[in-house]
Amino acid sequence: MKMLKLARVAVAACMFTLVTLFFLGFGGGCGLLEKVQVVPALLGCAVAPLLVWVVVTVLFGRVYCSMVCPLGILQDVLLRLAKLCGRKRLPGPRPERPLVRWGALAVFAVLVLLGAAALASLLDPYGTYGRFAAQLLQPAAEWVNNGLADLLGVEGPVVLFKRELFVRSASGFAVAASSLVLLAGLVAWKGRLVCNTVCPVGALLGMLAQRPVFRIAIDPEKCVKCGLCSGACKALCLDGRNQAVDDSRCVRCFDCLGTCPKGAISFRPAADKTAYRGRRRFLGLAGAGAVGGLLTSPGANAFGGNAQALPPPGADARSLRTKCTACGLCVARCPQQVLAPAGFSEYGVTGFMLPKMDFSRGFCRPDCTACGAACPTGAIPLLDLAQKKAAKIGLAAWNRAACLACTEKIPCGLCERRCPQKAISLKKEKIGDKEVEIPVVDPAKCTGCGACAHYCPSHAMSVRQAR
Amino acid sequence: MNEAWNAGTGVTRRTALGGAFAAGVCLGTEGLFAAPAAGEAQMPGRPWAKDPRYRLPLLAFGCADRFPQKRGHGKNSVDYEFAAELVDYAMKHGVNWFDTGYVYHAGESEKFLGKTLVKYPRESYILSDKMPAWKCDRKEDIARIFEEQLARCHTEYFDFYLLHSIGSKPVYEKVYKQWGGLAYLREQKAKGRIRHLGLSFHGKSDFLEEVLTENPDLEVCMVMQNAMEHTWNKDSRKFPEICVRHGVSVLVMEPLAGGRAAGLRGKSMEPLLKVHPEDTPAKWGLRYAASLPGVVCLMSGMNKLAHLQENIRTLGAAFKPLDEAEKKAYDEAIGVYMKYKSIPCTGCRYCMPCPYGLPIPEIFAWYSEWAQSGRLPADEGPNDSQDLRRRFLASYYNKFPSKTRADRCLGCKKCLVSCPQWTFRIPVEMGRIADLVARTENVYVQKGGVIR
Repeated sequence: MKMLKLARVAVAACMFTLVTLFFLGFGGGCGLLEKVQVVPALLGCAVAPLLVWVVVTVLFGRVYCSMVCPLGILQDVLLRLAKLCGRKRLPGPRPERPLVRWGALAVFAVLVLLGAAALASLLDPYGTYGRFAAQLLQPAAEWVNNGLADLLGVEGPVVLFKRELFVRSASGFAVAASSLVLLAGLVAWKGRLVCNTVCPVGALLGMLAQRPVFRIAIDPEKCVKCGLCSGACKALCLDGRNQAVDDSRCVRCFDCLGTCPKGAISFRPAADKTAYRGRRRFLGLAGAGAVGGLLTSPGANAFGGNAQALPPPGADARSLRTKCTACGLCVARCPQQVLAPAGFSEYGVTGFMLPKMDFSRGFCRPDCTACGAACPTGAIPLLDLAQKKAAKIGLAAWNRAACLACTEKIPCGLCERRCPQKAISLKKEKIGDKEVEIPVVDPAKCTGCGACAHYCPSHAMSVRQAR
Repeated sequence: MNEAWNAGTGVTRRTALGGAFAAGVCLGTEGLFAAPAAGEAQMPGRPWAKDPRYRLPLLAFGCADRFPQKRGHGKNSVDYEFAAELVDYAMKHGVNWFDTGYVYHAGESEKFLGKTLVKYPRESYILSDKMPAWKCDRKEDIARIFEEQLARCHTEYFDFYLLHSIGSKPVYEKVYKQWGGLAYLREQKAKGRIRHLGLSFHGKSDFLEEVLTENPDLEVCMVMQNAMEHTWNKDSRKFPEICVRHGVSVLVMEPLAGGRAAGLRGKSMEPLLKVHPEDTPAKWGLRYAASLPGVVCLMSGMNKLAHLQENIRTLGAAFKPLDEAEKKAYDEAIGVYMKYKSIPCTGCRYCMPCPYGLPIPEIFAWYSEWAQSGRLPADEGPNDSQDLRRRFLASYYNKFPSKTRADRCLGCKKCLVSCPQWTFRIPVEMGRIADLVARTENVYVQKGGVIR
């Protein structure tokens, strides 16, 4: 039975590494492991992965939570660290808190349906892990990358590009850092507490896993009710003295199997065929969600207001509000470093942490589709090259009061030279006794890629929303 | 003595007083001038026809922005300890001419020399300094700068004082004629605070002719002379002859083209190795410059002891001017070098700071390095390779942060006013580099390359 735990650790390590590496810029392609996470699949209405998780959970219980969910795996890592620091036994069985679990799930569902997916994502385990990876881990990795790039130079077999180091957004960084500290504290205190209280995925899968086919079974003949297994249970759902296991809360870490000195615990098909009440509840909830979604979708922009920020190419404020889980994957994978998480003002409070365009470090290359390819929820659509070249992000605007041609009479024209769409032309104009050339933007050609805003030395060019 | 030496100086003559003075220059004071180790090359002083008090070394210690610097303390932090060692070595081996300027190391060069040379008797070394006309905003600045220079250098007089970087007529007319800059300097010369007046010149030959005709009291003229300058700017070949005709001694700045003449490699070295398999390109370059007519001294910036030692060996007692065969070989080598188009920036940094934050000399040096090694990415031929493109782009992007790259140059032309090289235009070259990088990146991305 130790093999089960080993297999779990191996699969989890593999998944965790691949998910994290994709955030750090490796793994080229599509980010499949991000796309099959439960919340992104739910938000993106991806039926296939959802069906797989329903079937797997009904058969084996919440194996997703220990083997696939990056935040679950991270909690196991943190718990392992806590154990190294002397936290030997967990506090033992605790009763379920159904009000908290279903309440959190309801809050999550309502926020998503009302178009505040970014706020809902504060509860989403994948989004939360994404923020750790994008806001904390990626800058650290880039720091290492820059050091290596310096060390290796450009003549060796491996050539690395340096990246500019910066905090993506102060608020996003604060959210990621504080939730990591909070998470570490909760893990050291009560193991997988988060997974069985505020996590909406834990609640959803918990409904399906009330009576799974394969269960943790305690052999009453062998069990001496010593309670050793209870001290090993991360989910605090195993009551060894009463020989009871709450499968709805069990995350299938299989730690208990190895701790029983009598070998009384095993993982096998259950003997009793109790009614699957949980699944009925799940189906009811799914139905309610679908009806609610249909009813509220016209008002999904409930928190809309007039957004000032520019959404990534192909996306709009609405698709972001209803689908984006604010994981920051697009921000992390943008090769031009054009995307940044928004603060409280750009998309409104409910759009906090949604990606927006920021041209201070680069501009949106017409031949790059990295953000759409990475987005696990489809909030940023995947465009092909032709679509991307034509995608309208916004419209360039010129500020006469800041333009060097007008203020300093410098024949600059940098915006015209750097515009990849050739959408800017220079018009001669007489200012005082000097003739200067001022830029004129062709709205038909301009895609709002931000090259002019990026290169303008006096911030006279900016990109506004195209209306 | 060789012909070149005699050409600009005429007959040598030593009075009793001059002889005694020269002995002081050469031997100096005991203690500070311990005899150099046996076998080490010495730089003999050579008599100068215009002033019998002087015996001039053929090599002077150039102090223009090339002193060793303290790492991580910015561009103008002279490493006093190490630079003083170089100065002591130079003094000990006969290189007793120090050529500085108001703008060198943003003033640190003069201050360093003042502090370092103070331990030597004033007559034991030769000090030349220069008036930066472009730093003068009003008439009063001329006297202010001159006084500041004397104070910085801790000296009562300059052996040579040059009008720095004469090249554009308007500045020359305004500062030296309209504001009476030259009259002021002549007054200082009469007071004995300047021993000899001269100029350093970056411009066209007819303007040099004009300036020298107008001011017959200018005794030395410093011009850029090296094989590369002679190729980029054919007009500069005339300078030494013009000076000789006016009886002006020629001082050579940038004899190694800012180190680039010492950077001949591979193919361009082949013709030289055939003649002298042992000689370095630096030796060839110095001999080329020292063989020109009228040359009395080469100003060379040396921030490594090895450079100083090598240059003393080259220009010391064993110096021989290039003969015809050698000249031909050197011309051939430079011809090969020129096939790889680089930008003739010498890194003098007069253009800096760029108001928009571009490190102009660094960008040009980077480009020239890739150009000279024949490795600029191309759309065809052997340089059409993704690997080369990746290395090229990484080298550029890693070296220059986004806001300091060539594509940020908006062509304000502020740099052009102060650039002494008129064989190229900074904004035009910046545009070329930006275009090359953009094209390389486009091709690289189109062919599936990733910039990460």
